[in-house]
Amino acid sequence: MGNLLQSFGVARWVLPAMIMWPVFAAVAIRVFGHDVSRDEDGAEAPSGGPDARVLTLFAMIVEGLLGLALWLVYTPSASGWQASVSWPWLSDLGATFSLGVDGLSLPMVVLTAVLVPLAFLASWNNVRIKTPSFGAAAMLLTAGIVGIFVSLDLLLFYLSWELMLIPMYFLIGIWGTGERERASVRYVVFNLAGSLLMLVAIAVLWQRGGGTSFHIDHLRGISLDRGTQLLMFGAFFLSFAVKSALVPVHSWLPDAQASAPTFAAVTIGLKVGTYAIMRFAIPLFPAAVADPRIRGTVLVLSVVTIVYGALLAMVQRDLKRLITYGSISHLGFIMLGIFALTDQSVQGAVLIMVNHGITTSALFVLAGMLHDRFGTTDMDALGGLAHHMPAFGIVLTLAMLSTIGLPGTFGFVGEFLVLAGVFAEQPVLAVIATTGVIFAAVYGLRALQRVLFGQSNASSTALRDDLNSREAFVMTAFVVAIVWFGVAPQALVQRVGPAARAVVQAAPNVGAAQSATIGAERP
Amino acid sequence: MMDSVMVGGSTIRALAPELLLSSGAMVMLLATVWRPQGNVTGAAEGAERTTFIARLGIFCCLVTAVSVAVLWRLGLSGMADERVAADGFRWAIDLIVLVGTAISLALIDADHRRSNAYSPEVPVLMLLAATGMLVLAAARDMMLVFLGIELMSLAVYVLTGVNRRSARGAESAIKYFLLGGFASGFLLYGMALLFGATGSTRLVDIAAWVQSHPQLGAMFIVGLALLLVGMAFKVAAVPFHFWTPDVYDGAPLPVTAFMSACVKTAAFATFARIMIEAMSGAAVRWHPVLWWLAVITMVTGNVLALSQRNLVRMLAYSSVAHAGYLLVSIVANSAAGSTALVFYLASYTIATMGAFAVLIIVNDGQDRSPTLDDLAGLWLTRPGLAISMAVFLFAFLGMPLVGGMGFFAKLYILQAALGAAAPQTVLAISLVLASVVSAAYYLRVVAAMFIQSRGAGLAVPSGTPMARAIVLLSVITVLVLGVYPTPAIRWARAAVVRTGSVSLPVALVRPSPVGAAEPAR
Repeated sequence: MGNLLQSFGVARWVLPAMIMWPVFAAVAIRVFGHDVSRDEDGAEAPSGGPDARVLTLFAMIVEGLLGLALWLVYTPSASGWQASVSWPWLSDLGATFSLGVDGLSLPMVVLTAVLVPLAFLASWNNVRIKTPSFGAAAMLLTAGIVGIFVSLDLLLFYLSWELMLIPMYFLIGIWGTGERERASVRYVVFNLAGSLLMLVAIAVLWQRGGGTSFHIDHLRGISLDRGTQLLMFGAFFLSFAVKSALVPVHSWLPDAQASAPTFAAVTIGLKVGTYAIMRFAIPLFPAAVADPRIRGTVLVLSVVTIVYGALLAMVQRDLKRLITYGSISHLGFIMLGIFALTDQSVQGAVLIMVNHGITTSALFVLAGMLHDRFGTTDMDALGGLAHHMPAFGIVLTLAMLSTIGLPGTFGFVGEFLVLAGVFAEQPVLAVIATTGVIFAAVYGLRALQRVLFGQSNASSTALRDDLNSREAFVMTAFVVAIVWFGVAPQALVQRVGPAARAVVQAAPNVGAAQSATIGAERP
Repeated sequence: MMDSVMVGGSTIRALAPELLLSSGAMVMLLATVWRPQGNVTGAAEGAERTTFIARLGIFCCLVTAVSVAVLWRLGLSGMADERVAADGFRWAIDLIVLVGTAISLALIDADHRRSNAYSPEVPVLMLLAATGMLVLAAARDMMLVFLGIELMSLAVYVLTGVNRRSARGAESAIKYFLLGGFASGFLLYGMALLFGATGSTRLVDIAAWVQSHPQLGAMFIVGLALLLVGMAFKVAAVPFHFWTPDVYDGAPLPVTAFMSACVKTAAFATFARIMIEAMSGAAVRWHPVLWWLAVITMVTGNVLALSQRNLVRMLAYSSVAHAGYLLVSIVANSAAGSTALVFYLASYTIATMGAFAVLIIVNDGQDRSPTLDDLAGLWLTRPGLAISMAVFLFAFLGMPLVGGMGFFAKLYILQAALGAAAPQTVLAISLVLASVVSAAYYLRVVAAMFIQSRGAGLAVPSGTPMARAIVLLSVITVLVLGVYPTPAIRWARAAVVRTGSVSLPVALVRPSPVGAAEPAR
């Protein structure tokens, strides 16, 4: 299959197509799509023209197929950028339209492309007003996220990075619930503060590189003194840390994710921040990463994030907020794995990122279903659902167990690799981090108990329908992914492994840092 | 005899756009008298004539713009005594001013359909102000600078109070006139002291004097300080900004758009030219002053804008903040800085005109400034208008892609600041942090339009075709140049390279990275 696609020259156009298609589709959906108005019973009464949601779903499925094609044409054994293109763009700045994937970005791109239609399908009735605009914003958001994962040019990356903000702002602000206006503004201001500082760092980097190119391969070759590297790493890292919601710059996330419509909540959860750290922050500023103070700070913050996120998850009443704090806790594992800088832990971090994209998304989709049915995700208002919604209960249980990291689920693989890798380097931190797994069991199981078992509450008797066929289809896909990658993660590991090694080699580890070879290599 | 004819001829050629535009204004003034009045009387008195004169004015602006483009292409040389520049910088600023003026006249036309607030002399005054701006862009002599500033300011004083039925308009005109007169006094006194110190009003002579007198002397320093105060007032830099919100709020919306875009462009053009051409040698003295001025202006403008519900006052404070960003490009004191200045002014002018066109449509001819409540839920009734306004606001904010050119405008300023001979990292960081503050109030407008529901009893704004066309064209320009800004940048760069080659002392033209990248293309 891969060879067949190769022979069509798919590798030459699939990446640009994955960015251009959503943008084109966004315009088309906005122009041609129509709102399907609804009567009191929720029955659809088409008002002429194609349903915007159908158009959106179609566009997303095409995007998903492009993602699968990318997976097939990728050669696991080859190194370097694959499916790369480099088109001229801004000649005066030397910025080019350069795209490419390696083992690091490939899983993330494919995950995004496949997850997006699933999340949209699962929240089919979540959005009922202004569906053409919703579809357009969702497609622009997809273009931004894919752009982040495949950009090799730093200016293009920055544009994609910021392109995420505005569609997400509208998704939360217009289609969200609760304190959506406040949540959406906080989302933009937090992220903008980080990314504008990164823009200054990018401009400095460009200047130091001779002002001829924004390409990452070119910028990696610049020699910078250690002090500059520290400052610029700080600017990059701050931006990425805000986006990935590392404690203490996490406070925008729970509000945003709790208010967001299901689709937006799922896409916020895609780990663009930690990806960008591995892709840009570490290879561009190795001396800063090797600096024991920086590395130590980040490692400690990671562990704090793990424990803090887990503890806060334990005290939440709202299921969505519980999932959010749980995902903050997982973010700590990812950061820990990245900055432990061993082959195993970085590989594990990437696997957690992928798992997070599947498991947490599944949880948000499930929480969204509860919200659509009962109008609340407050766990005290729910209860006893296992009896009325058995299929729902099974899926929720499996997804929650994967979050906890039960062996046999995808959640276990990544966390095990991270903890094993960290233990070799930093046993104390690994032990503290392990408590996060225990706390996860506490909040995960307790959530299951409160939602699925116990007394069913009076307010929750209204619409206790089990999964319908559309929801069942989506959840089957999630369940298959969780179990499949939990039992046989080889296909993923095979592709991630070399890239993870490259990240580790890009940054000399602590031992090398102390022997002061960095100064010699990169003064 | 022959000589004086030649000199006269070259003078006429060098000032051709200014002469063209001012004769256009004269013809229009006569036309206001000649054109027979229609049979409408009362409030609509003179309405037809105003429309006709405004269109005539647009035509004059476009003809002058074409002549500027031709002169630029021909590479016309300035006057032999170097009192009038003929470099790319002048032509680029001319084009921005002329396009801005043409759009302002179109806005007058659009607004006029609703309110009949404008007498036929308004377009004439606007053209006279534009003539002053062209003089400013060309001036390489203090006397010409003063001439241009007064020509521009006097016309604008009248324009702010042009709505005779509005008490607020009269108040703002008086306020602007008194404070502006004061500032002109500072400016003139500063120029006089500089003349006293250096013995010349020509920028080249002043530059030469500064080179040969590193000590400068008290008279020069005081003159420079007074000049800075006058200029800071004209560009509305903090702490000389207090007139801005009141005057912007009181003036009719098209005039506010004109002031906020064109007056600012011309004032910054001459400010940059004086600082870079004449005062570069004394940079040590004025550099810290402008540095602090820039930081304080950026921060204060944005912070004060946070609490405004009146959109015009908000945009007034935001324009103060933008003056701060533009000051950064002057502080950079390099060719890259001038490129950034020109590009930023172009981007800012287009976005401002678009934003005010939206406000004019929403305001529907009432004699008050629109507030956030007037925009509430605009998306539900007029999605195109709301999306356009959001694009302009994102352009002010400097958001990439959705804010179009606004992002590259900020990026080029950042690069100029970071690539200056003494890299201005702290200034660049202040700039981006100030931008983050500005996100809060721009987003509040966006939130009002998209997230809040439409207030009961709010009319659905429709707007004239002219106003809608302006909005549409501005949006397309901003967005297209936001994906592919290279043509505009090439143009902005051409504007500067010639400035450098004509007038900057060689030692002061530092090879900036942007310039260094040039031959590679």
